[in-house]
Amino acid sequence: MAGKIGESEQSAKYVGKAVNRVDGHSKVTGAATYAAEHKIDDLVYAALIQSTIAKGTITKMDTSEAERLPGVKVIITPFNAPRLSSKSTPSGRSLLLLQDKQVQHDRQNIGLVIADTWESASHAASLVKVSYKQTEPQVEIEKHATYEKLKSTTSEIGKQISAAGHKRGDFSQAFASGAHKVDQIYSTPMESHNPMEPFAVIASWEGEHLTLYDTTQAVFATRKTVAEHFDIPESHVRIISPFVGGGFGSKLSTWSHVILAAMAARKVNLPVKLVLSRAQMYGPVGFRPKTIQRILLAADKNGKLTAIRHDNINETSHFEDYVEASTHTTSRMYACPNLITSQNQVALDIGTPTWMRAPGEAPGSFALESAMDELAYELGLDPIELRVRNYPEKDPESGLPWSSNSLRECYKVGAEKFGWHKRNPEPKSMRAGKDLLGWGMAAATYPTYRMAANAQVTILPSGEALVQAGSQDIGTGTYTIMSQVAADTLGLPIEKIKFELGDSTLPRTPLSGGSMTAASVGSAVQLACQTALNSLIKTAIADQVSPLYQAKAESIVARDEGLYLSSDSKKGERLTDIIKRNKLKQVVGKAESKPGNEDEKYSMHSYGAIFAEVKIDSDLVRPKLTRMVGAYGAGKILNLKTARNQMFGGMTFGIGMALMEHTLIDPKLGRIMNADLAEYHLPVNLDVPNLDVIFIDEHDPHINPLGAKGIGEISITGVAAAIANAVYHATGKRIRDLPITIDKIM
Amino acid sequence: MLLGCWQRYHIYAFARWLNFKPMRDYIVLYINGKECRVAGADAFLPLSSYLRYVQSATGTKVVCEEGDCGACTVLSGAVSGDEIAYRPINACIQNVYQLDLRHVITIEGLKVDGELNCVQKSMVQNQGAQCGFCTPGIVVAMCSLFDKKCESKTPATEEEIRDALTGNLCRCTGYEPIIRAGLETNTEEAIALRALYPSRQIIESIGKHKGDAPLVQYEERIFFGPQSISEAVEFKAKHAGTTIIQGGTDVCVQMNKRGFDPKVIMSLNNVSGLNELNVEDGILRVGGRATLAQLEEKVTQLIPEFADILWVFGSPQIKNAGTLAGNIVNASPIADTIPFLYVMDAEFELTGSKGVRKVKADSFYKGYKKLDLQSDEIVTQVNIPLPKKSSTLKLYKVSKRKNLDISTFTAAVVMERENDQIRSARIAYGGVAEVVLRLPKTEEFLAGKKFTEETFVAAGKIARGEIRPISDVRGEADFRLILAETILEKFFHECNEEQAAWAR
Repeated sequence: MAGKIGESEQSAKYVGKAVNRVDGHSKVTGAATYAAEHKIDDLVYAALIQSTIAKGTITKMDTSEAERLPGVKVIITPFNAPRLSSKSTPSGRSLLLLQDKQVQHDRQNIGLVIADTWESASHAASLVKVSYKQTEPQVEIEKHATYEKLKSTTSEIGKQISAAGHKRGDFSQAFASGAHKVDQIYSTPMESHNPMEPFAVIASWEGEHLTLYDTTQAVFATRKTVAEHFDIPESHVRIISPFVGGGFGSKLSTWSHVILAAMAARKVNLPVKLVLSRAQMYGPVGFRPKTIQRILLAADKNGKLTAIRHDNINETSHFEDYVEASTHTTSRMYACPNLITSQNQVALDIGTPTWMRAPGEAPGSFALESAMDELAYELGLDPIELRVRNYPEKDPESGLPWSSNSLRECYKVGAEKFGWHKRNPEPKSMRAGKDLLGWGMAAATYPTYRMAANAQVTILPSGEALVQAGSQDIGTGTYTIMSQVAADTLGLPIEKIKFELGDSTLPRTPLSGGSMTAASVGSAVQLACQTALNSLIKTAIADQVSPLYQAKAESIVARDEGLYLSSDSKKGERLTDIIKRNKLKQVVGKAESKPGNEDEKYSMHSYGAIFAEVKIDSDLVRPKLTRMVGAYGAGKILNLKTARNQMFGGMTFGIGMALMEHTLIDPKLGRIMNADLAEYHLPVNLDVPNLDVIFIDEHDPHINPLGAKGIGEISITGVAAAIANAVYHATGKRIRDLPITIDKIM
Repeated sequence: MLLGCWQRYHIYAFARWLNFKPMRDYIVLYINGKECRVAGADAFLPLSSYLRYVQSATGTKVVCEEGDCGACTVLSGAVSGDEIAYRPINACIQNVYQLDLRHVITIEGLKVDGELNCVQKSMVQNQGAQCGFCTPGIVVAMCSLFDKKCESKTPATEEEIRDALTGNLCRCTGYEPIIRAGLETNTEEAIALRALYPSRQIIESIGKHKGDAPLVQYEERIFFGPQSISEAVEFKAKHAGTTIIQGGTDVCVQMNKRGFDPKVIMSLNNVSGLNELNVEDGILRVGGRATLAQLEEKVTQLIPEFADILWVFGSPQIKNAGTLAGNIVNASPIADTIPFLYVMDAEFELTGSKGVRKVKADSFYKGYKKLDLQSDEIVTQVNIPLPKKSSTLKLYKVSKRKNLDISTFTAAVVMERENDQIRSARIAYGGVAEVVLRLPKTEEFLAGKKFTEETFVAAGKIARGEIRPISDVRGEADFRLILAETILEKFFHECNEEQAAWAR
């Protein structure tokens, strides 16, 4: 069988190696084309009008001054917007599309101006005078999030997640009789994804056919949502998205501006470009919701957990339920017979939250792993020792065996690399010069997902191969990894692979989320390559002139740009010779690869251990992260360079979450106060010390053909807790409310 | 519309008045070696928009539109003698008219003979790009660093690379691969920008336009780029409400984000002599258009405490554009330089139609953004007495994020003491009221007191009573009160430690 990566390690020239990005050249020269940069003829520009209140009704929109501005073509408001009359409820998010005059959150899109130039459009948008009948917004989850007074989960997804959870044994009795206990409330703030590339779309209609150049993590889901909103067949919509300047979950959904741009393009009968400003992204395109989490832990005197309870409440909008599944992985992190978890929401006058890098796991692990640190102190046990004593030999929730689980190895290798044995556990006991020194750690886990994916491979007479899959590359390295997989499977040098993605006319693939692109699309690319090769092998063994004539298909392997007998490396021939001799125009392989029933047989997850060092300036108590080591068991690492990069990026996301990121809302007005990069702080390079990542060599034959578990999200998981635990170790002060800022330590 | 006509008439009258001098109604700038004459609406665009929309050069990215992320970094080259000195700036907060007679190099102009340059090669090799959206800005900023390494051919240190990239945000990589790309850049291959774009030719070409001052207008907007202070003062006197856009690091943010739309604009960028810094009679004299980067370079040896504050003031891109005079006139109560200027008893020279007037720093501010500045006056020089050897100067900036952040609280303390006796102290706080404040009661209390911890604890309590902070996104009022009180203890401890270290 031709080049199966998991099985013939020696033949893998690219997979698992530190291969340079195939799109590196286009990115370092500025040549890569992002959504707003496609050159389209006769383009006009749209600018959004957003609400300046958080709750109320629009009574009037005076557009007269704006309309007089030269170049302004049309102004769409709730008073004149075309009615969208979908036959069914469109899939995706509940969108506010100028169909009524209600304002339900700050910076709601309430209109748009279309003009000849971007300058005129945005200037005109600023001249539209909006009158409101204002009502007082409710934006404080704390006012509603008492445990007695919870809004019960109503949405289907909410029910599913709650139902999927999690009750075993008798928590109440076990907690009551626990020898050592923790009962604390933790909270994480509203956070904004802030991908570098702003949301942008170009919408262009030709009759009933719509082309959208969008920045999206999901070309097929966008196509579906858009088609449903305009009541046209999906085949009439094409989404093009070759480069995406970061997404982190925010670009998984189709938000209102995409539909509005298409609406505008239809109205003016010209292609319309709409780019959101940074400030316009705080509200209508999702964010991580604030969570309030209560954790109760009980352990016996040996440090064995006897009871776990984890309740999460998150904020959501009034028009859509969004569940931040913070408790999702708590049930299987530690062996514990008695457990309850719950998920609840509070509806507020805010936009709808959305998935942000490790949704659920990131805030959930902050709470659980902080609580475990508190329990370790309560018990007088080393935090690693406590975790090892509670390591589950199999999935404690489902009872299934792990497909693979390197968590204990992660603790060991990470601790060694960090120098954990030199730690004096006593808070405030370690110093670096004048500064207080703190060392903390946390564990991390993230599920391994995979979805059905398709790919197509075309081997050309030139000996090159065109590999295609709808998919997306949001910076994670899809172009590169898929090229590696194809090159190895086809036995071609990577330079002869051209990989295309980011187009809904290409074979269908899942969205780029849940850390599953490598596993899902990679498996499909591999299978498509094998299918193409099989067809060539068939031709060769039927071809009397071929050295492979009448050879057994199973005995043939692809390598060095040809097909050869595995038993006799000289017997075989080049792909181009087979193609030429048989006068083939091209050889096409199409395949769909989908998960089987492996999830009924195994529990599949990535694991990690993170170690953090902070120094605290003794006068100003400013926490400074000085070192971080992460050890991860994440299956097969397909490309060491892109993988290390992504881990560093995720850890840095965790640093931001721990120390600075916080979307602030004015409690009275309900308006976001720091809707820019001046006041919404992301880590700058000086906030990020040299990070260290170790991958445990993990061979998991059960999860998918490539053996890859995905890494995009485990990289942030646990980081905030490791840092908070280090701050406690340094100062003796337990910060349970992120971010950890000077004023909280003071 | 009426106003527009009136102003148009006015401007031509002004042009006629200046008839002895030729004028041009367009901006001349060079982009990647090519001359561009920009007139009308385009001259008023942010450079990033001009590049992306007019020139279709989309390698320069727009992410924040306020100079916080560096994705739009380009190199701005100004003629200096017979060379062109290139410095990275943020193209999103730099309007085309500010770049008159400059040579701009963008990401599209950095290849060498059509091949990747040494920085680009290393960025590919070290996987310095993930999503790629911040990458062009990072490559440009890093190329500026390696431009300086061309002669020595020495590799860049981690500190140099991190400093050069303070103003460049990346949300994907965690920076490590980018820093490594810098460390592994092959300086042997580094090509000087002046070799890539031979200076002589551009300087000659710029020289042809140098004699003409640009007077550009579009609808009711007017831009004037004078060549002398007298021209500038004359223009400002005739046009009350002229906005001087120098570095633009504050004004352009207001224009992009808050809809500020000045109609009559002047830039002093081509006024010769105004960018000089020198020391005379123990006084540092800073010209009205000297940039913060020039100032930082100058005070590194002279006033290291001030250099430290300038280091965290902002990114290289901001400091290469922003000026000290701009920071003074912008009059933010949290401006990082003002507390220092207060305690050093600095003096501002204001040039107007009636000549030069001198005002002390701490009497220049009359209220929130209210200045003792006449409509025809321009801050042409700042005179800063150098700290005496016998005095102790300490400056503090507290911000949420240590680097690249707007201050929550700032403080400057200068103290004279003889052994254990405090002779005098001058204290100024920022971020505690609508203007930067001197603390006369605290200063009076300290004079003559023993130099002990108790003294400074008590002084802190008095200081707390002299301020009136508010709560905002950068911090609660209470937090600022605590800082105001405890910063004086920190000052005491730092003095003590230094003394102990010295004694050792």
